[in-house]
Amino acid sequence: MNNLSAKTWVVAAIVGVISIGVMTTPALSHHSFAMYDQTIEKTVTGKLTRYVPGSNHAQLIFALLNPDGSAVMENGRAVQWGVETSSAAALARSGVTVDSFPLGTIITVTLHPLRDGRTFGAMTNTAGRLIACGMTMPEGGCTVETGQVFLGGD
Amino acid sequence: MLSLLTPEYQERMAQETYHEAVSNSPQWMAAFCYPEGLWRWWSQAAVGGGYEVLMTPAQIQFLSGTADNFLRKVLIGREHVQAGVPQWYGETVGFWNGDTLIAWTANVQGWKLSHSMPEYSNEFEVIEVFRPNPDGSGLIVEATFYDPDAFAQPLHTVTPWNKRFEADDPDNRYTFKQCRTQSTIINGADGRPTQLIFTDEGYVDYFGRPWAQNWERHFEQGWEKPTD
Repeated sequence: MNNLSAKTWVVAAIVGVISIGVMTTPALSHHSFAMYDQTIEKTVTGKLTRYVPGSNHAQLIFALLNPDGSAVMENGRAVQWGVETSSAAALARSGVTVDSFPLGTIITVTLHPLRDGRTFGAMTNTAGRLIACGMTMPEGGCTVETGQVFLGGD
Repeated sequence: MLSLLTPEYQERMAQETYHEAVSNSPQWMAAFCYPEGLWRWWSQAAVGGGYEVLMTPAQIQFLSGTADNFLRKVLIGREHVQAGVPQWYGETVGFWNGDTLIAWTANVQGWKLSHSMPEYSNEFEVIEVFRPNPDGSGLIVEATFYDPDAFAQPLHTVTPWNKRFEADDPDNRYTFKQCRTQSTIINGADGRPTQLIFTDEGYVDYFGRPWAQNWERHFEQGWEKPTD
């Protein structure tokens, strides 16, 4: 047993550099984004109803709003949308946290929708935008001009 | 890669590749929160965030994970005792030779590497050699994989691990993962992965007291609740 073993509870954080050869993996994401139609960009505005701070992919769930701030209704119920983003840690580095995005925040999101038409989409590393506009809908809607751009500001 | 596999595992890998490329039905382990399985320890998709190493005289622990948590333990000076009990990360024993740690993992549950890579069997075993990198940047980690059912010959990889943080780093933290709260992927009716979203039957709203949502939906309809 070497001298390292004499140290009790030595902790070190080490990162592995990607190996080359047969073990190299071809993709970085932990799930495929083939379910999203990445030829389409859709922009929607809503009131945040849930922030899911996932370590791989966070999700923002929101009730769809009209430009005047009223809820978009369908069959008597508010229409819900959601968007999948990068990790919660990555969002936090851009200022998006459970504290800066409390429930009720008005947001505008540009996303790639699901191919099957359900009300959910994804932001990607190369496309998408997230704007926050506080707790009430600004006059003229929640846009780049009226809100704060957190993601995809170019 | 196919040439390194036995005929049966060549067929399995060809099946995987076909359905990723042609059927557009990638079945990635982490997407479904399936068990990661030992071999994905060497996959960037599973442990891309780095490794935390904890050393004691009796064992070395490695903690890592991207979609789910890997906790591996090298038991120093011990022997395998769990033959016939395959485990997702196997059973690892090892010893020190000077500054070099040699580890042997056996009793592994067969699974697959995912991401267009092969499957492996319960015969999968790994010998790992951890030695200091002569340039002082961290460790050199060699791994040799044996699986007579799946591999035509042993496979070998060498990976440099670069030390990024000291034990008392004030800011660095390992963030524990709860896979199901961050990945709601299912196979859709067409056999392709898709998101289970909040309006779908079976979606669990983890951040909205899902237990109470269940009670309120099934048992509390029509209740008149006190206001205080």
